[in-house]
Amino acid sequence: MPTNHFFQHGFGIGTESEQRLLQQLVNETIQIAGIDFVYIPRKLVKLDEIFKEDTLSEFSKNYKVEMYIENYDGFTGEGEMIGKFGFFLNDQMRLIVSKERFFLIVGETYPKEGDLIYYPVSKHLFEIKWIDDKNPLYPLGSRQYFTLVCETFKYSHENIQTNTEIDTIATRYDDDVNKIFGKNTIIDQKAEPLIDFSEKNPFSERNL
Amino acid sequence: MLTNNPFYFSTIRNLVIGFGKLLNNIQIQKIKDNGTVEKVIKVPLAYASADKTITMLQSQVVTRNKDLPEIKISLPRMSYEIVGISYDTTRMSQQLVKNVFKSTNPNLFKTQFRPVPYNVEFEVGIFVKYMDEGLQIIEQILPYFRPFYAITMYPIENIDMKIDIPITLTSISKEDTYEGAVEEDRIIQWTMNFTANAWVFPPITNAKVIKRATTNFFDLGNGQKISSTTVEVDPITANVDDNWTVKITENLAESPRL
Repeated sequence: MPTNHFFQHGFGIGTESEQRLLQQLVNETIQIAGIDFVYIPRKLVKLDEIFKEDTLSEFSKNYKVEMYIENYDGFTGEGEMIGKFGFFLNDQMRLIVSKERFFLIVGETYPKEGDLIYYPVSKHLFEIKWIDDKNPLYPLGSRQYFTLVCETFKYSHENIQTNTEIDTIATRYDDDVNKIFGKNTIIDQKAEPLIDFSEKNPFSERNL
Repeated sequence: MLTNNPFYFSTIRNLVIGFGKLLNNIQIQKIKDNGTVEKVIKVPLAYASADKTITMLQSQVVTRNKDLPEIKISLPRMSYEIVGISYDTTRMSQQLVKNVFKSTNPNLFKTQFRPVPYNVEFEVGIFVKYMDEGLQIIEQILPYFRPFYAITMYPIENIDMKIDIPITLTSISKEDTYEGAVEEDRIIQWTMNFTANAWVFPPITNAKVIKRATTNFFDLGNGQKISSTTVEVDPITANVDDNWTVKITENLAESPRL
């Protein structure tokens, strides 16, 4: 038996006007209870088709988009951790962004995995790990918002030039050998009286 | 009691520093499609295990005290640590031979039994975001280990003694968590294991300078003493830096053999 055409005019239960109303309610709710985040799309620069990775990704644009924090009572994830590579911060967050507003501001139909989200309040830079676009499953027959599953960004010297405070990441981490984790200079100094490198250290004397 | 006085030459600590010196200047490159080098990044290296409080204090200097964006971690990184120490029977040598060193006291010498062979196992971790960057690091290490590379060290501070310590690359493994749920993070870590053929040194003891030596000659047939010869410093109170001569005195036995 087909669905009742007195109640359904397309896919699912909603009519177009009902879908538009729900979209506007979603937009308004996020604008009332949400926060302005900075959305930073990734531009692939040198895609390696063998390893399927891009070591030179570029982040140069930024868009202010309002989003609602689903886990409003705190970050999820493991939080602050210490391992053999020092301190790392594994915070996670789920954000809800209006489909309509995202399209209006960014000009893209969907956010993408790998793009960055900056949370200016706590100054966290997140990476979108996954776009959940099937939950809830098409209310009134259409999609009004996406849920972005985000995790703190792993920085590997990609180009970040957004003309915002996010760009300071490069100045903070590009010389990590002496700043945060690395002890290269100290090891060098301590080893000086201990090691006879009358033959040149093969690991340090090379022309680039 | 194993010893009467505490001693510590930091030989294993020095080996940790020496081993770190081998790996502390690895660099990777970010190369554009046209072949030009966009960035050269020196890979941060540190000893892996650390006091958690100190780690947090040093991290907070940049994470909480400064108004800068927070991220998960910056990569690439390398760490290394000792994972085991074991006695090496293949390098075992004569145990009663002593090394002798000068002392600041002219009437004394310093002596030390031969060092004891121990193998120190190191584990090196390489944490990267991209496969290509991990391979850049690996390829800059592997060619130097065939399968060992020897470093020449001064194992004890202020003692002019050099030893070669062969460091052998024993294994390499890779962990890549690319499978699983989409939202789970992908971790690429390489682990390299090395064995350093190190030496651990026993305590240094003071020994007096021998100023008088006497040799007695016996007839083994009847056990009677035949003669004795004494070699001594003259005057016997002289120090190494004083003027002195060697006096030799030969004495026949009181009851000479008929």
